[in-house]
Amino acid sequence: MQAIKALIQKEFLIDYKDRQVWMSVFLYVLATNYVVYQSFHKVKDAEVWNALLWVIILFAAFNVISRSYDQERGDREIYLYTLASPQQVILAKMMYHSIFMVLVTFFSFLIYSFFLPFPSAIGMDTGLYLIGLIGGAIGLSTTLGLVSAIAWKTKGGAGMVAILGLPIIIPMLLAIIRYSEGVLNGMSWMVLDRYAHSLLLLIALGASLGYMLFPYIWKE
Amino acid sequence: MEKLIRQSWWKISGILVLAGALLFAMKTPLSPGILSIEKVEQAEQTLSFELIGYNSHFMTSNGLQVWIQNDAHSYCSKDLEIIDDSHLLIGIDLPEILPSNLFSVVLNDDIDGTLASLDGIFIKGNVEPSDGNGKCYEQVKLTEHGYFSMPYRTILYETIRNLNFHVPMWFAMIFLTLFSFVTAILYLVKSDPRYDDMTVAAIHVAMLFAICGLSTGALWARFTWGAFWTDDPQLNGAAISTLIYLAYFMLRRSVNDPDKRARLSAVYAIFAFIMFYVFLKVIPSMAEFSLHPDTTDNPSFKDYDIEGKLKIVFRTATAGWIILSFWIFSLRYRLLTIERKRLDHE
Amino acid sequence: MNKMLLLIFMLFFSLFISAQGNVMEEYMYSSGKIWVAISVLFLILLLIFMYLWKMDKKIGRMEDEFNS
Repeated sequence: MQAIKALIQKEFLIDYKDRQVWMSVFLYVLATNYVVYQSFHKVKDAEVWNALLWVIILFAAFNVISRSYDQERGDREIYLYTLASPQQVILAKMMYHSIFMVLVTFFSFLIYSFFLPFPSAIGMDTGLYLIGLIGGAIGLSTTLGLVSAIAWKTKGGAGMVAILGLPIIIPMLLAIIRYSEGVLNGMSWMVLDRYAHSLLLLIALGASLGYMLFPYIWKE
Repeated sequence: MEKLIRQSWWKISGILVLAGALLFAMKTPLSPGILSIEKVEQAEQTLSFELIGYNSHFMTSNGLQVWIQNDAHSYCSKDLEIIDDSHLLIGIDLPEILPSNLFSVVLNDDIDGTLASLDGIFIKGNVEPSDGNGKCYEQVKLTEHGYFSMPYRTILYETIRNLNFHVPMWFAMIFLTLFSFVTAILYLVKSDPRYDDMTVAAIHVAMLFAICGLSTGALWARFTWGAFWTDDPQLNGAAISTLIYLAYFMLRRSVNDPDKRARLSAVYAIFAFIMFYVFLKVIPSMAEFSLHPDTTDNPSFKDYDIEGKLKIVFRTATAGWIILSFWIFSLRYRLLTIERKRLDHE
Repeated sequence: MNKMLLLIFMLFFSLFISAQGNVMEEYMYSSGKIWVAISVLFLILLLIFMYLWKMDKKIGRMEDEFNS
């Protein structure tokens, strides 16, 4: 646990020192939202509004996570081997990116609803929608964690994350879109809980498979 | 494994099973049924129409009886003219006041058994609901035709045979991906390059069967639902699995070192398999609607298949296709093994 | 040879696609849609044979390299 905390701190410090990653992600979110606003101007349909938001978040996640092993090249890669066990490294990466993605998601949500107003439905529970945002962000970063680790070891780079990750992320994306659509349509928790459960299941599977399989990617 | 691959008994029995199942699937006639009711004419108290049967034997059968029925009310044919094996001209006398406008047309003879066209005919006239007066034919016993056949269903008709061609493609694909999942785990545990070859070969052949399943599904859907592609959980699952395994081959191409390639792709194969099959389990239950049977409230083939006749042919066909898929896999695997040996020599 | 096969397959496929609302389509719907069942079986066999053909060529290339 101590090691994981140290690793998360290390990730944070590296990103803090070189703010280029943060800048680029936030710029990406701003630019995409503006492009979406320019192309749509007004979105009346709650379902379209919701799906567009999640597509923006999805690509933001790819943007963030495909960079997650950028520093781990050359000398730093070898240094990382001596620093911690593979399980600690993958868990730290997943946690750091989950926190980071939650922030990015909220930021996108704010910018998005600034440009395209939130279609407030009757009887909608805003709290449940925010929980959905958090769950989706964590889900995206845990599932893509292992994929980006695989891509790190190939020569494909960031393009590889998209090729390997997109088909795998579809179940997660469908679950989260259906969930937040349900919230927007004012459905009760009785209807929503199966989406929430499948989302939790996918997060748990993504994290535990990452935990089990990362050592095999790691060793040279 | 190597020993099994070189043995011939399972290949021969596979050929026999598949050939037998395909022969049965194509040769077995469809059950007789009523294709349509046409040229309905109504004058005063008489009704006349033409009944078109499918696979029926009006010429050779005995004791042909036709009547229209609504609950307990039934009116028998007064005139009955047999044109040929599948065409009948029927005239019926109607009472002044009908119990309903909608009647089923029912037919009975000794070869075809009892055939019915539910809600088959609409009759104009004054309606007053009343209690039934029983059957017009006293001696009619509802029977089933005596010979082995495929169930007759409207819309599907003869394409019900595709159950033995299209559906086993998915079974073969699932079998091979499951196999590749196991060999991928074995590779990570034992680091034996043979398991890597098996994984690659199994996934490669699974892709062949996925493409077979997708294209035949599209063709069948075009002539059943009217479109090549529908938004259906089953179709989404198939498309996603194809994408996943195409990405698998992309991954293999982008790594040069054979050891690393095998390890990375095994990890991806395991990860993708689990994420995908959880998805298959989760998403159909999330879907509100599916055209495929057995997922939502759709009538499944079980309901069509009253006596399990379909099931026998279907299971044999599935077994045959799976053995064929395993045979093609073994050829692919042997090819990869020889290639590896040659590379080792150089 | 492979490209030829692919071309033939594409031709068949475009035939099916362009078959909307003409003689071909009526033909597919005739005799209880038996032609749909037959073409599904035919398509499966065609794809499997194409796959085997490709593998055959690959083995041939390997043999050539082996002998030279």
